[in-house]
Amino acid sequence: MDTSTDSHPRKPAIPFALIGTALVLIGGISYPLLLDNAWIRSKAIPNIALVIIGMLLCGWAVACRRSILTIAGAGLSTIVGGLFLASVFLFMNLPAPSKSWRDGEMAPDFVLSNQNDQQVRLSSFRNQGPVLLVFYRGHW
Amino acid sequence: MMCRAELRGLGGVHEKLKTAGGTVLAISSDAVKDCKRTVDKLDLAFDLLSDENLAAIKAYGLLFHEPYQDKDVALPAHFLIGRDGKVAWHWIAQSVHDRPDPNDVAGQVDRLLDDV
Repeated sequence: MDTSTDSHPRKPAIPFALIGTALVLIGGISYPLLLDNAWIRSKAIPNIALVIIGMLLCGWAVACRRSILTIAGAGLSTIVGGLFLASVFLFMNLPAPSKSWRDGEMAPDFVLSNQNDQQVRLSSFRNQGPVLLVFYRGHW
Repeated sequence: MMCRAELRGLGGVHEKLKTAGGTVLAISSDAVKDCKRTVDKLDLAFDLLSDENLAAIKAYGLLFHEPYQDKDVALPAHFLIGRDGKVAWHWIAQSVHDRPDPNDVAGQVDRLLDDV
């Protein structure tokens, strides 16, 4: 009946587009949810792999067959995947510290105000107990 | 959001240090009132120090201009300082999402406390 099926066998373009889009969404959206895992947070390798495979599938689906579904899938996965990859590769690197540290060096002393506007001096803990200084980025 | 999870996760380490006479001190370039708000919101047991003048952040070599907010901030970093005032262990972030493994931090604190 449908002779075109024989001369142009239908490739599974739509399932590929759907699977590809799903992989991109899973890879991109799961990343912020998995930040408690230090390895995923720092390297993001499983997420990068999912997003890239998903984008390739979507691209391949469009190349096989142009339909609303395949084009929509490719569009969505390009936006989500592109944003994810850009955030991982372009915005993630920080500059090196301006001082190179070796363990065993003296920690520079300071006096700073705490949340109640009381002065806290690092060296007041000398001979009292160990201190963990945590520098963090702050409000954003 | 990410900083909050990190600060909250330090409660256990702070308890350990406090028992040994020490503490966790968290430092950022936030104003005192922002530190106050964060402590209240997260119900933190340790102090958040305001380094608006960037003196300590510069002394530790961690100054970083955040281009998207146009704000001077600290590179995320940990320094574990012994009773002798020397750095026993340190860790400095290389990427925005980089954080030390909480188990590593706890392990380093245990090691330092065992040594003393």
